Amino acid sequence: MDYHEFFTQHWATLQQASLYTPRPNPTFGNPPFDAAPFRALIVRLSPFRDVERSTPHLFLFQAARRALPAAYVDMAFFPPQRDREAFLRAGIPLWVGTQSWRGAADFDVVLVSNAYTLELINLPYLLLHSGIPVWASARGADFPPILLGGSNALATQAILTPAGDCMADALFFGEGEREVETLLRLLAENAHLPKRARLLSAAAQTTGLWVAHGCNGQQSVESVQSVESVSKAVCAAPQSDDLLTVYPLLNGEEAGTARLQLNFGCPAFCSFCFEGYDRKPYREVAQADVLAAAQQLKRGGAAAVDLYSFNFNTQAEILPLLLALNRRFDRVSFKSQRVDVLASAPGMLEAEVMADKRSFTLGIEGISRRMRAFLHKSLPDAAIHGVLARLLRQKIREIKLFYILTGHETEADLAEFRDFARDLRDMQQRANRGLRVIFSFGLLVRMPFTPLRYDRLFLEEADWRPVIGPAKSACETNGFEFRLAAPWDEYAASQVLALGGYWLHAPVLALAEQGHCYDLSLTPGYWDALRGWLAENGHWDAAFLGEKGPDYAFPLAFVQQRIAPDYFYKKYRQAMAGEDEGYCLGEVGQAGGSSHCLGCDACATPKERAAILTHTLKLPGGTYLRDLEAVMTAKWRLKPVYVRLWLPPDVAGAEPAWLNAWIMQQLLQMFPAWEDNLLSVQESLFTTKDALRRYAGLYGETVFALKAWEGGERGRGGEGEYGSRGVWECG
Amino acid sequence: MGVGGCGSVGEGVRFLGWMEGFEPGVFGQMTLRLTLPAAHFPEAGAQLRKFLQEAYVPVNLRRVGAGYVFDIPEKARKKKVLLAGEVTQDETTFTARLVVGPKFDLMGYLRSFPGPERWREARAEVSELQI
Repeated sequence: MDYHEFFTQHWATLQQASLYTPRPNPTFGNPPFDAAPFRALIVRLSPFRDVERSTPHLFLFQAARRALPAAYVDMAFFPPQRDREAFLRAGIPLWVGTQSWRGAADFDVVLVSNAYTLELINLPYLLLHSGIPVWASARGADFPPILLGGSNALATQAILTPAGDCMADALFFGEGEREVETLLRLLAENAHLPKRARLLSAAAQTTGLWVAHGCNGQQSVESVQSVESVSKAVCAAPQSDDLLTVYPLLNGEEAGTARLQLNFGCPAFCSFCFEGYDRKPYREVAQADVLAAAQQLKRGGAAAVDLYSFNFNTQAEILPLLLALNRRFDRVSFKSQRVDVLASAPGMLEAEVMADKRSFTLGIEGISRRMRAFLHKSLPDAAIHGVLARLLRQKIREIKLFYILTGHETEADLAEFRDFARDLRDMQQRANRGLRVIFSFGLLVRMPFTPLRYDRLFLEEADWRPVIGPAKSACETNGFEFRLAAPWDEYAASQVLALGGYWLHAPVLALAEQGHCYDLSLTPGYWDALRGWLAENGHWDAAFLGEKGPDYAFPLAFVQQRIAPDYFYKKYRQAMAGEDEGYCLGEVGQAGGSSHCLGCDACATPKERAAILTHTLKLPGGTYLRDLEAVMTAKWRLKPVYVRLWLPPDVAGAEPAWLNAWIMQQLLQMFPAWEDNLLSVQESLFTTKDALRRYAGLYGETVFALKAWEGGERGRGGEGEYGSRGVWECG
Repeated sequence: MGVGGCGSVGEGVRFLGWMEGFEPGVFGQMTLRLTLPAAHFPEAGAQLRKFLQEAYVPVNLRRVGAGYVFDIPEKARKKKVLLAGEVTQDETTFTARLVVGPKFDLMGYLRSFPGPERWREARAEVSELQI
């Protein structure tokens, strides 16, 4: 169904209006919709503003574009409140492609990315309000296959029935690198087959795809427990091609910032961490491959890269990479890192500060040694104190300390935390009074496929007050900011959705039918209604709320992964006993000792295992810090050269970040020789801070600043035909 | 060959020249060829006159042929908002050719209509840019 009439009339008044410009967005590289041999709709379950910095929709685009270069690839995001209201008033489905303005039924496949638990409740809401039957068993050939994957895939039991029906036609488990591309190719090749046969054929030839029983109207009486198992996909030995480099520029503030992945998975064994267990084993991308991908990102228009990794500082070549990337990009940012690595790697902290890092986020997690052992954080006191003492001497803006409250904290744990906060205050007052220190707390969600899935649940708000109150008081008494990550209803609903059984599908659908969804916050009443349903239906009981035994029937057990269920239980018992046996990463996993394999069986080959066990951080030494300082200092001092350009009408209305990235892309496509020299491109006449609020919809003449290593105001050289000489020659 | 020699630098982008001594955000005057959908920007010419008058730029519209021309007294011209202008409108589209100075607030004008969020529908070609 074509919704051009509505969008032509109303797009400018919508909350997500920026997504509809430029129109058509040239960076999608789409053919005319009707001429495309295959059409894929990529769906995010959150609004664009919430996922702009994330990559799954871009990753799926890359897979689709590589598999089917002539395909029409479109994206749809969860409409924010005002847009939902406008769509529903006008009878427009909530799933409409931002590029094609077509409904889901006009596509050959719908790829849904589910990033986190609460977001999943938007799937039935979207289906209900898009004229699409909720269950695979009720969707005939008129509807394209709906495939759902993403980092929350292993916690999607709320969209399955015990009989194996599913709100998606198929679920994808694991890492989609390589597999999604193959899947899409197979779906296109087998377009002549009925939907279920097409999916089963694709599932048989790939790894990670589970096909719903009811798909294409087939009824089944089998139980999910009796389903043939599906193996989780793992991207072995990731290389440059596995990294995200091919994607459209979406019209938002992040258009010029690329995410550059350094490694896959995490080497640590934090007992609470969903991703840490889901994405094992830890695998690094070689420096040459990272740099090759970085070069492609720059050609795509990126002036800035954000290093993407669960822990960027476990990367063996992180220090050489920081230097190399800072030579190539205007800005290089990096956030999440392990404190013990920062403590033990000589020069790393100083290098990070030198590379312009002014805000440090440190995951401490447990408020005491005992709690850190329970969480298996493998983080000794000495490392925390050592890093904080060194950071306080640096010229930085803020430190964010992340903690998890478990519900198991005792007065002794709280006393230890009070002492820590007091000591930190004393250190700060001696060293760096102006520094902002933020303590950010989250409540522990026991996630599936982690050791703590066996732990008892704390779903009474009152149980948390004796822990949250004193923790807040300890922070604020010592002059630190205290933050609690999520409100109570979101925490409680997340916990139930993450660890509940297949029975969840009933309340989740019923609540979606009542109009509940998640958009910045849960709609009021969601948690009360969910809790009420659990109580009425016999699930608010000791079996679900209490500690679970090794034989507990967790959902999605048909997903086969290398880490055996027994291992999770063994690690749970260790957590309860306060045993933290470190992790397996080379020289840093074992404080003071040699590394050893913890026997999780996630490594597929001896080579994979050896790469982790013999892992060694490359500490460049020599002139490294001086070289990095020289690069950063030179970059700060660069003066741009200004160029007058004429822009076509197609780009009128684009956000400044989009325009800058697109012009950089155009320049580097035309003049590849500039690649090493050019750092950034910035429109400098109508999008400056003062000017931006006075102009709209401009195209034609304007002025751009080109920031480059050579060829700035002083070094541009002599005059040529159009005043262009020196380093700006394009050969 | 340099950028200028190539002329085009991509999908419709044209190189016009290097700038010396440029200060970001600063220009003298430019010509805007403004296009608005008439349905969402009703009486756009009269609305521009009203918008300018409310900003203490006393201009008037005078009919010339099928369109209108702005009469801009010297006192108004000195405000560096509107230096010259003519507008036309048919059933679907309002078009204006405006020579404006750095004080011209296009966004303010677009937001002065009954549907202020419609500003995204405006298209304005910049030409004869004088820095």
